Amino acid sequence: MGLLTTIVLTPLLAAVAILFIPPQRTLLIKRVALAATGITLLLSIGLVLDYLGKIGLDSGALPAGRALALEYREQVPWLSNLGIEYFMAADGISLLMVLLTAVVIFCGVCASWYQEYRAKEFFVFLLLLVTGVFGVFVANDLFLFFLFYELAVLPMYLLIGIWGTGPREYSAMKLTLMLMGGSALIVVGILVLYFEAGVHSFSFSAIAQAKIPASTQLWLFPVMFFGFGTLGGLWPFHTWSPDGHASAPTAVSMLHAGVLMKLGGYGCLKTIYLMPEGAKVWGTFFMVLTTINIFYGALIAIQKTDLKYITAYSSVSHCGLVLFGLATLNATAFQGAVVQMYAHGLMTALFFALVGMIYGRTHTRFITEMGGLLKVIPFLGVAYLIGGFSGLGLPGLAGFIAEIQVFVGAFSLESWGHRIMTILAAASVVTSAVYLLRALTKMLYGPLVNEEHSHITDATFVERVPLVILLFLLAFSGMFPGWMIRMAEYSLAPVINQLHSVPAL
Amino acid sequence: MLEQTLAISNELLLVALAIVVACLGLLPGRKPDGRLEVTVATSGLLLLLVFNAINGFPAISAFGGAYKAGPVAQVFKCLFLLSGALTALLSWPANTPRPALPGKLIGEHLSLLLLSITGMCFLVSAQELVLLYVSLELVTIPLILLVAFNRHELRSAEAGMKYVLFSALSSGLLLYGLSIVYGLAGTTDLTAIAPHLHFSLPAIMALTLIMAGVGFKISAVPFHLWAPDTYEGAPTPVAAFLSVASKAAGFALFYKLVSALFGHLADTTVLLLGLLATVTMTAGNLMAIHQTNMKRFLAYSSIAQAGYLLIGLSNDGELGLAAVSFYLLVYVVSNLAAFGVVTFIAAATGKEDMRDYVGFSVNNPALAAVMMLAMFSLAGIPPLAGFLGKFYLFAAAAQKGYYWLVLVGTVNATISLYYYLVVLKHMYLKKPENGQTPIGRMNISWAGTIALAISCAAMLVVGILPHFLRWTESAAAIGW
Repeated sequence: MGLLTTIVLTPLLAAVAILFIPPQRTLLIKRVALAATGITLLLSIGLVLDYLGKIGLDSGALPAGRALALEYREQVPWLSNLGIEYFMAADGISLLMVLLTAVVIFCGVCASWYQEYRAKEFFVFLLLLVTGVFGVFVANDLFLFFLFYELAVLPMYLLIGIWGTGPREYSAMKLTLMLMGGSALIVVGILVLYFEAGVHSFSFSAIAQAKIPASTQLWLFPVMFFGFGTLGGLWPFHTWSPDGHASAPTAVSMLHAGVLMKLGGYGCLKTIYLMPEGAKVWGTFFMVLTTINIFYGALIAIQKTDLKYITAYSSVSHCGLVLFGLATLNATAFQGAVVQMYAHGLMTALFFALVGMIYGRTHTRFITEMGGLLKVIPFLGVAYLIGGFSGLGLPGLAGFIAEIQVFVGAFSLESWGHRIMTILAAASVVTSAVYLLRALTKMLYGPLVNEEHSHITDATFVERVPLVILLFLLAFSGMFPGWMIRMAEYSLAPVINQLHSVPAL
Repeated sequence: MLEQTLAISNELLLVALAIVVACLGLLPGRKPDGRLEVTVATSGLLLLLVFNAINGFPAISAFGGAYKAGPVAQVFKCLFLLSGALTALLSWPANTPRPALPGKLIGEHLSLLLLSITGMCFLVSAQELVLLYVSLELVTIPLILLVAFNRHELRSAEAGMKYVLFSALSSGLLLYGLSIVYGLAGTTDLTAIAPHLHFSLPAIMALTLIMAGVGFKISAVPFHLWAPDTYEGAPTPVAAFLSVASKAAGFALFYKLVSALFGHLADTTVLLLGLLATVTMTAGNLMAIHQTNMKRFLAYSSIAQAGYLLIGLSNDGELGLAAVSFYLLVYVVSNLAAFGVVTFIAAATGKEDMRDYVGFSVNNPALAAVMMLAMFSLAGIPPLAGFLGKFYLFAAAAQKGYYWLVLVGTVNATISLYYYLVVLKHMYLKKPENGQTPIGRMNISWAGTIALAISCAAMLVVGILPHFLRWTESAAAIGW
């Protein structure tokens, strides 16, 4: 069994193991979950280091004679005469996402340490969910990819619906149905690609090399881009995200906003890879939509006073930046988009973890009902501050690296229309500063608004673990971004080659 | 003569089993409580199933070519035997306030069930119009009796009456269509008819009449009206059987009559099929949304499922046949699991309304999990078998370039997810409101446990392990 399969199967096996533990032994259940996610975290760190060792840290394209950046292949025939394979392999982008997933789920399990209500089922569903997420990033067969993609749907509905807060039934249903609506488009896309390519294989590279007819790409590209874009928070199909993230329990918000929305961006990247001609036709159109995304998300976030809604709308804005970078079809912006997926994942996970912990203490999520909290919970407060700075793109933190690359890449496009959109998108950094700093000031500084808050305690040890990990990674990746950029650059080469191989408009 | 008899040994054994089960009640000194009957019928069916499944693919032709037991026919026979065995297990006499069937009549119930399965097995092997029609009647008449089995109950009697009227009408339409076909072709041999059917008014009329007649059997919209009332009134195990085996037989019939006879008129057939599929899925889904009675809900859901299967029929090649038979396998186990849970809850508490299921998962986690798997499988969510099944059906349509049909299918699958989730919402999400007591812990008979275990195992492995898909694929590659 290969390493990638091990990473995917570990959470699944842990979920099965938890099924056999009596429900009242919650501590044992949590330990099993923590152990499983810990193993995947160590494995993915190992894989990233190993991959870096293979490709070296010096900049440079793929070595001669290599069309793909894939490593750790596991390829066996699986289902049916259609040529569906069990094909796992990873490139730098996949590994970065696997690392992100492993970090976020490990932190998510820590952040759910005080989950007592139906804990057994909670952790079973959480681990099932993460199995699907890992799978998507390492699957290289379209069918397998889509299977893992959909696998995430099943536990998500129940996780939000049972353990959520507020209008949880409504939010869970809305989220599930909208994402499934996106999937409905993706299935059509996959089948059309398969039969138009006619190569008797579902593997990404085989279909990409088969060259889909331009007339098909023309209509199929937006279908698939909207399909994946729905999960990536693409305006106007982002509306599931604020409700869903606000209602979800802490760990699920972390995982969903931090990692699942990246599945959308990852899928969009694959769509561009498979249909470069369609991408060239539709790129500008999607740049317009994603500019709206970035700006609209930030503007709504200014209006909101509920911390979870602020974070959710800022996610819409920041994930818009990922899609924006992809829609430019520019190599530098692509790198920025990939790094943004990673950086935003860490940042949002941190935010949602903090919101959950603060809500657990103050019993309110409205910033109007908080104030002066830095005096009573300094640790959580400072963590929030650093996260906020990363959100508004302060140099030295991971968010900056991503944003600067996306904007530089986008601005290098020739036409004025593109440049105006880039300027507009870049201006959203200011709006981000408005809502982030406003929330921080209101919450943390000034006199203590609510007397009851004077007795609350700061983060416990179990709560500090995920916060420290996430903060460390944000700062580390911000100060030493070379390895991420290298992995992204190396693995983006096939996509760029694909785009270069087709004539411009 | 011996050779001919051996050729239909499967069907003869079924008839023998039916007679044995019917006579078990006559054994002296035994209180006919149904336990022995269920045990004998189930083990008989399972033995036949195993025998059929491991027998390889036969190529037996008998009675001057009127009867042919080919690979696809064998796959369908396995489906019927499996549904029969699971239904028999669900008929286990419940020691509860409201059993689905009166214990002393279970023998009769099972022998009628076996006779209907015999008819289905003949149906898929029939290569000739008359045998086809007669076996269809053998399928239907025991089913009418089964639907009206609790004849003292108003609902059951009403359901029986509706079923008998609609069956008669559909048989009439079908027969009318078949007689036109005979008039055009001058032969009743299914393999010899197709070349005689050209694009002409009588041929299109025959096609429409046959589609309408078969449409009743598979409960395609607008011929579905009998299904909800019949399912609601029939004893729950019978409704379960109707929804799976009878539907599978309907699809076999569809293949034999529409695809085989009119396949070369692809444009017309596919247009009609596509319309039928679209209307069936959409109407079934939209009507299912508002149902709160579980049996009516499953009836509308099964109407929508027939619509997905019709998508697969748009491909008259190997892939279409493999996809339809594979999806039927998936559908049989998923739907029977759902009906199984409904049966047990109804037998224990008399409750059939999903609003009474609130909080069910707290006291009965295992049964709720079975329902969850069944709902997700019917909705086509991985890793359950329904996912691969639906993907394969859509692939069949895509292979022929009917991308619009695929899109209609996937959009409908999304709509259907809504109402499948509503069931889970009641079982898992909602908390009992004041004055409402959730259903307490229930004990399930060992027979019921086996039935649900088989269904769940099948839902989990059929979509992951390649063997089942290969089986239907290689059968489809050879043909009926």
